[in-house]
Amino acid sequence: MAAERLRTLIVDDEPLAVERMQILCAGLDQVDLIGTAVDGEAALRMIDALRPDLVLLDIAMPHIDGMSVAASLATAPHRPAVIFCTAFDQHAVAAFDVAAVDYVLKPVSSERLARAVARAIEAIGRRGGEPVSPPSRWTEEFWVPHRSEMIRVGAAEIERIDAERDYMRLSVGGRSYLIHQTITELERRLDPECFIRLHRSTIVRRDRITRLRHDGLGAWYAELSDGQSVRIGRTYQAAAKAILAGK
Amino acid sequence: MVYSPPIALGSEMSDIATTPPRYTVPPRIALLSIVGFWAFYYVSVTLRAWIMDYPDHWVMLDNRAWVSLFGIGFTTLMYLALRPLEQRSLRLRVAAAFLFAAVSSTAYSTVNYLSFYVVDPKPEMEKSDAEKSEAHKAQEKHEEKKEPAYLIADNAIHWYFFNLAWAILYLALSYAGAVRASEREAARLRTATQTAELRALRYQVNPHFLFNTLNSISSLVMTGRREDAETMILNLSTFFRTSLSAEPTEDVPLADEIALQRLYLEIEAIRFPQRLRSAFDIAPEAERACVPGLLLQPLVENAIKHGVAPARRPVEVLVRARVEGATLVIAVIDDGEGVQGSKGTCVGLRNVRDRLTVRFGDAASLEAGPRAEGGFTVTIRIPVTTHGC
Repeated sequence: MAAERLRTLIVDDEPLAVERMQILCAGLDQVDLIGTAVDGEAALRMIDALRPDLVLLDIAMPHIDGMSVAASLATAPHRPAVIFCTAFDQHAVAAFDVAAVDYVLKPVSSERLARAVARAIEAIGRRGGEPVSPPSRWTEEFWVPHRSEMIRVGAAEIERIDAERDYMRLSVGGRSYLIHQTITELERRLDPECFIRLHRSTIVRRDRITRLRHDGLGAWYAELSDGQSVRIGRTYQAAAKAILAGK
Repeated sequence: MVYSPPIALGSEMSDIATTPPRYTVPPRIALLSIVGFWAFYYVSVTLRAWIMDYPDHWVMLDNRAWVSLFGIGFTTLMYLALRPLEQRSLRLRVAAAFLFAAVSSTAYSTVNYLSFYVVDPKPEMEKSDAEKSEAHKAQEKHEEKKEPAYLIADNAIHWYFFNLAWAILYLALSYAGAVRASEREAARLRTATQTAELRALRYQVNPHFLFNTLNSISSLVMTGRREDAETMILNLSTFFRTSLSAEPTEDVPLADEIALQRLYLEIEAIRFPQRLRSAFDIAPEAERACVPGLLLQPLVENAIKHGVAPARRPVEVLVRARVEGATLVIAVIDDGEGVQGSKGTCVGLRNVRDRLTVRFGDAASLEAGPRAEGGFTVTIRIPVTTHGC
């Protein structure tokens, strides 16, 4: 369907990486390659001039890196769909702040790239040409390493978060994923309407709490809908009891 | 292969890895000290008898030898009784020493009594009163009145201190042995900690480099550049084989380390064909000097990461080595963008510095900083050695 061909820009500072992506894109019917940029500044200029639908964006680049490019696109009048392409997942945490339709790891297979492009088409279709709503100040999605790729986890899907040394375990529908982040930073980025910190090392989604229990010795526990209970830290008691009052 | 194959940590490791001795005092030392004690007794009493010209002292020699052998036996039994208490508190061991010395000296005293008065009385005992000195007569008179039990107990008190003296010597030796053992253990732990530190500080394969290189190879394959792809695969496998098999505690000749860095820069040059140029300036006398394996890897990698990758123009990475007196001076220099802010304290640099400190102490140094003409320099100075690699 020619109408749905995405006008696509490749951004990468390594010539061989650009060549590889050009060859992969040439094999995808939905992709209409309109140009390549070799650094962040060139990328911003070309996005401004060419108004692509899709940007395949490398992260590690001289001067302005891929994250910064994506971040400045978030407030731009024309906002192309972004697929991050990186060799290693160490940037995943930074990808919180910028909405991306996918996050692929180099060297990416053509099947995986096709899947990412399909997602971009779907995302653009949902948006339907309407003006894009300003980005929320709360993080809405996480890209987490899972097996050999990065998968997207919507913030609203997260049931609870537990600190494990330098990592945070995100529990989502019976599965869990580790990301490298501090709990304080996560608490700051998550919408407080949806999430509450109960303990030095635990954050839970508010609607998972069924009731609060008092054990008679000054210790409070939150009982969760999956039957587990979480001890509430002293400093978090006031906030937790406020939910009880609200219910 | 550039590097020699890894060798299991050498003989210096097996020394410190041996299990601690079972006893704080080696049994041989304990027995020798017992024999020594009794030999001293035997010799000193014999000398005394000889110098003071005791009557019949030659006849007493074999008798005394026999009781001394019994003495050695009893003291050994005391030693065997004290030995199982080695791991107990010092207080308990001292109390046991006092008690066992009493038992041992009583046993000895009994044998002594039997030997001198019952089994083989010496002519001395049978001599007429007239031949004896006044003092002897008085003593004899005194002794005649006493029961054997009294004689044994009386003698036991003398021997008590003899036995106790050995028991206390044993405790002292044991204590010193325990101190030495714990010092050895502490030294072993220090070495183990140092090895572990070196292991932790050793070059860690940079996954970003690996996957970017695989991406480049894939690109070469897709565009049909088979020979370039083949060269890159071989370079990559040699690089990884070498860096993965290198022992962190092992030194390599600088020439080998340089060969590895050439390989690494060749791989990176394919990723950054327009931006990376590399140069080596290695003095011939520096090539044979020993350096810790993979020492330069983090520095060259940093030059790529902070010098070449952020630049949009060609950047040269130069590795230079010289011998200045007894010092090997190695510099990794780039003319890139330089490092802004405090990135000079990055992990790679700190690891190299820590590694040098663990390995050479104050004899090594690392200086890092931006160059006046642009770019960044890291200079390492280590003592020149040409043995052990």
